[in-house]
Amino acid sequence: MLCEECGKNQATVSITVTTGSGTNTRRLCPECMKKMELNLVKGDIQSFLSSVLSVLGNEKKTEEKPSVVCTACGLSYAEFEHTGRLGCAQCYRDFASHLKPSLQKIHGRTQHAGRKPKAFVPDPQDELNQRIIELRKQMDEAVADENFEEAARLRDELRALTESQEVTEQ
Amino acid sequence: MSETAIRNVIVSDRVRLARNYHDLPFSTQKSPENALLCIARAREAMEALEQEYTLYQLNAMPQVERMKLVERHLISRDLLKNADSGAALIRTDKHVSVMVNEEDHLRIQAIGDGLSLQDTAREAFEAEEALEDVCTFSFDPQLGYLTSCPTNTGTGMRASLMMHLPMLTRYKQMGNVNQSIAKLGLTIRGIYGEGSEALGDLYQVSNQVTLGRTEEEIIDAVTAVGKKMIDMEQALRQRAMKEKHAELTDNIWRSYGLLRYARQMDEKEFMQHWSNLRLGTVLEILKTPLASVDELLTVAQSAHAKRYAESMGAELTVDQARSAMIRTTLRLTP
Repeated sequence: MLCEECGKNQATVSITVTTGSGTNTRRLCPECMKKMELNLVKGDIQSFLSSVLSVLGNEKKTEEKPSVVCTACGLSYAEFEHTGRLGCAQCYRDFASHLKPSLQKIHGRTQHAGRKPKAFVPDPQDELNQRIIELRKQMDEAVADENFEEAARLRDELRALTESQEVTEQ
Repeated sequence: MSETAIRNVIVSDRVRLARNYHDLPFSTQKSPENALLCIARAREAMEALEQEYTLYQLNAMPQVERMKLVERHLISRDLLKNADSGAALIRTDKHVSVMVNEEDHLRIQAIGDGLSLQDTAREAFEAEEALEDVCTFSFDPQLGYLTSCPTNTGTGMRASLMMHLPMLTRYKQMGNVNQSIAKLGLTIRGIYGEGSEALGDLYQVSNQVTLGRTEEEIIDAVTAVGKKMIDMEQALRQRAMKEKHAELTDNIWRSYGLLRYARQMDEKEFMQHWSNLRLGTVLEILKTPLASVDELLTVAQSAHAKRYAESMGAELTVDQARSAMIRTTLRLTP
């Protein structure tokens, strides 16, 4: 999971704050934790508390969120936030816009790589998009290596693929 | 890296896969019918495999027997929380187990005995494929295998190494280790998973990230960190043998003495001395075979000790039974 403060490093420390309105936990990286501790050492309790207690701000944000409910199992997003457990596969689709940032934070990526079920039939469009992404990456690498001949070949292949994609879309 | 160096530090390796059936809600807690369906499907699938699997239904087992499965790491503590519906299909050789109705419908787990995550994963995939033959898993082309908790989404795979790191602990290096491996998307914790204490200087190193990396990438990352930690631990052991030889050997023999002659011992004290016993064995100060030392890690846990006391027909407390068990093991070996 990525640090909730800087969003860059892996979170390794968690701080739990209990206030009148409940308990909140923040997950931070050691560097951000150190910054907060530093505030405390400097005697700046106010800024220590305000940095830790920005959870209170998060609380308000949660309340403002529209109450999304899964169309299949009826789980609300608020319930998910409370338990950390999703109800069914449909939750992933119905909560997609909220979940994506969380998945990005936890894993640093949002596109699966790895095993697929034996019976899984990939969508040809998805396959094509994947291939285009791959070719672009290879082309950039070829340019970086000053291998222009290879880059030109990849460019032509890419062009052919994008054209075929446009034809399909029409 | 030599087989000995690996065995000196790594107690076991494990791979677990989280999978859900596509047509049922993730939690089976409120639906006994769904829970039974999950068990029936899993059972049917495992019957197709050549190697034999035994079905353990928690609600039909006494608590002490359930705990024995936890102590052998064949089921998780979380499965115990779902004792009404929880079940496990366990391969006769105890290397593979499929937990049913835990946080996800299926948790497929394979256990190996070293740094062989690749082979261990193969065993887990074999069970997974058998399960797949009778059902369809919840899968999304973008997010991969869908799991109850988003921290497992993607590959649903957790590859872990159980490592014995007494010197990294004593030289207070675990904080640094923790920070550097967190940067690689890995995590380190006590042996019974999240939130558990590192008793016996035993740690579990595993991947934290499951989405956006292939199974091979995850295994390679955990293996690479495992190797690095073996090197660090071995170097510190050699340093201690040079710089603090007298103190180190004294500690090891004291622990051996207590384990060999004490009449009652609680789990925490046992784990502390067990760590010295294992260290003494790999440093060739003690002659106890490593396999016996590692077996003791399981059989001297509370549930196993309790069962042992009952089987002896003696009126012993758990702590007394644990000591009896340890004494017997150490007496039988040089």
